[in-house]
Amino acid sequence: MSLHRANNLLIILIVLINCYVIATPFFPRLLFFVHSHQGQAVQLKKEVHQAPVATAPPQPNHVVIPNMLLNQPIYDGTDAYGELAKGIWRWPGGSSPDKGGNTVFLGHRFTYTTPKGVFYFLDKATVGSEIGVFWNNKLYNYTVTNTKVVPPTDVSILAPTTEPTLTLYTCTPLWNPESRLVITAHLETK
Amino acid sequence: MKKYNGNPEAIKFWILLAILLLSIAFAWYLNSSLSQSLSNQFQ
Repeated sequence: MSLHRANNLLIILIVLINCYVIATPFFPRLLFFVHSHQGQAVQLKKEVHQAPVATAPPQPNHVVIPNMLLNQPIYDGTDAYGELAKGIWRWPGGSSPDKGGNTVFLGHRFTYTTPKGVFYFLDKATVGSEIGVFWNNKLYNYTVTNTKVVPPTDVSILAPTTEPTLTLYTCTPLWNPESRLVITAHLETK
Repeated sequence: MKKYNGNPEAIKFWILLAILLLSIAFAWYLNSSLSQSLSNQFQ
């Protein structure tokens, strides 16, 4: 291969890599725009009010948040990096929806590898937003009561609670994840 | 001053290769810094 041809190939590779790095963080917004125009939020709102049928085959544990067009499985385990790489991770030090207390779910805001940040749109889960947690084939409905930004050193968000609470958190801001965006929700029906 | 008489295509090749490696390193750094920062709440 001549040097001239090799240089052209290098230029193409540089352009492709840099386009990927620059454009990929905007893909979730594009997908959100497309999916919201396809009525996916309405469909998810119906889903958070449909309790699983007892006779139906058991569903995997998952979370549905219509405001952020989220419908994702929940992963359990002790390997933080490994579980977070799969999607939403239930912190094993916390509770679970069937036991009450503070159930803590966390997920990436954005990564270049899959999945591309399950909590990318966590900021769209504002006060009053509905959250449906399908846990052991039972539906738990939560309503967001508080949103806040805390430093990564603030572990008070993981503390046990007397009320059945759901805490969701991720990195913020998107580009410089120096803080944590925390969403607190309380159980509506059991 | 000594005049450089090297092959300009060769110089271009090494500069482009360096830019390519830097681009890959930057993309790698971005991904790892974004994916590892979340877990430090428990450390």
